[in-house]
Amino acid sequence: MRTDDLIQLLARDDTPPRPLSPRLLLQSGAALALMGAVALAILGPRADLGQAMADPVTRMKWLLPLAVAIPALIAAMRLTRPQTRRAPGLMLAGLVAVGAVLWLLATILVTPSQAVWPRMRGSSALICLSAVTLISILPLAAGLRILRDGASTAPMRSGAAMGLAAGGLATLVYAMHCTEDAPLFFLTWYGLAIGMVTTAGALAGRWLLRW
Amino acid sequence: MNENGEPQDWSVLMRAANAGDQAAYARLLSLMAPVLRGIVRARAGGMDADWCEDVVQETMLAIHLKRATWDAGKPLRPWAYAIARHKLVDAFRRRGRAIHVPVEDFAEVLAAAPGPDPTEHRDAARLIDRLPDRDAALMRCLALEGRDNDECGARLGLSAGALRVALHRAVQRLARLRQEDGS
Repeated sequence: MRTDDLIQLLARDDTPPRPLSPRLLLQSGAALALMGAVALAILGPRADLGQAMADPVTRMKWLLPLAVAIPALIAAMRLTRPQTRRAPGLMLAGLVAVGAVLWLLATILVTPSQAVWPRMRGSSALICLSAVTLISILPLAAGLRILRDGASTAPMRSGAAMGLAAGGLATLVYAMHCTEDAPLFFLTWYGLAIGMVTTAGALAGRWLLRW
Repeated sequence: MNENGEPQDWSVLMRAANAGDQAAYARLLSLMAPVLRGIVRARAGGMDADWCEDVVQETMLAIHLKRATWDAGKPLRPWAYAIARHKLVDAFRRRGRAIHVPVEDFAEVLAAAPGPDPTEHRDAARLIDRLPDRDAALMRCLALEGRDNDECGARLGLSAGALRVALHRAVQRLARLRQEDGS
């Protein structure tokens, strides 16, 4: 095809460009709301939700995931632009993650060594990991589908950002059910669950977001 | 502005195009092509003209399909150059060559001297043949035979709306095919 023919063809295609960010927020948000509602309908919210949210330590079960998810979501939207390779949002989310790891290490150090693993293990680690992953699959997939219309020149980073956002927000929903309030428990398993979803997002992004 | 009083600024033209001005869009693409060709050739490092033209066409397809990622409040050129850079790096990567393409000095490259439009080595008919039948017929009618929308619509039994949708999907498929073809 001659380039002039291509130009004529492209000029004929007058389908208006559709901005990505509103579609991303709407569709991922709807997917999260749906999966969150299903999960809470099955698992049931904790009875003392209001009280738990009032406790400054327990409140971190919502604040920490939120503090990684929001900047990561902004980063995922910014990275759809081809000139953007650096995402301050991801840096910020990374700092919060480092803070959480330091908190976990400090808690391990001040806990009597024979009590560390029992407290960390709790009684619902596996449910926590599977619920968070399951809740986040749909919002992650919806987000990646929209990001495919983007022009990220860092597909893995874009996918990771979307995974971090989906994982963080799914954790937020799961925390409405989970009654294990020991930092050793939630820092470990929430962190691991979000990390798993982030890895899945990065690997999927590497394939799906190439253009 | 040029001698006919038409705007030459890429951002102005793209804003008009996004508002539905097809003539402005065609002019924008025609203005971009030689500039992109100049950029690609300056960085092609000994690759031939056909290879360069492939990269130019892939860049133009991407510019078209990804134009929602341009922030209308910012100049268009850096955005278009970023897409050209990405396509150039991608084309080299598929050739098994890694290159470093600094985007900063794109702006200093002069447009390619006007001359005959080099035809690319992958011949159009073959690539179009790999599209689904109706898409292929539509592309042939619009691009190769240069007929207008009404005529092509009538020939293929498509309403004006259906033709727009079919054309957009066909352009998306073409871009995907070309990428798979090259990799």
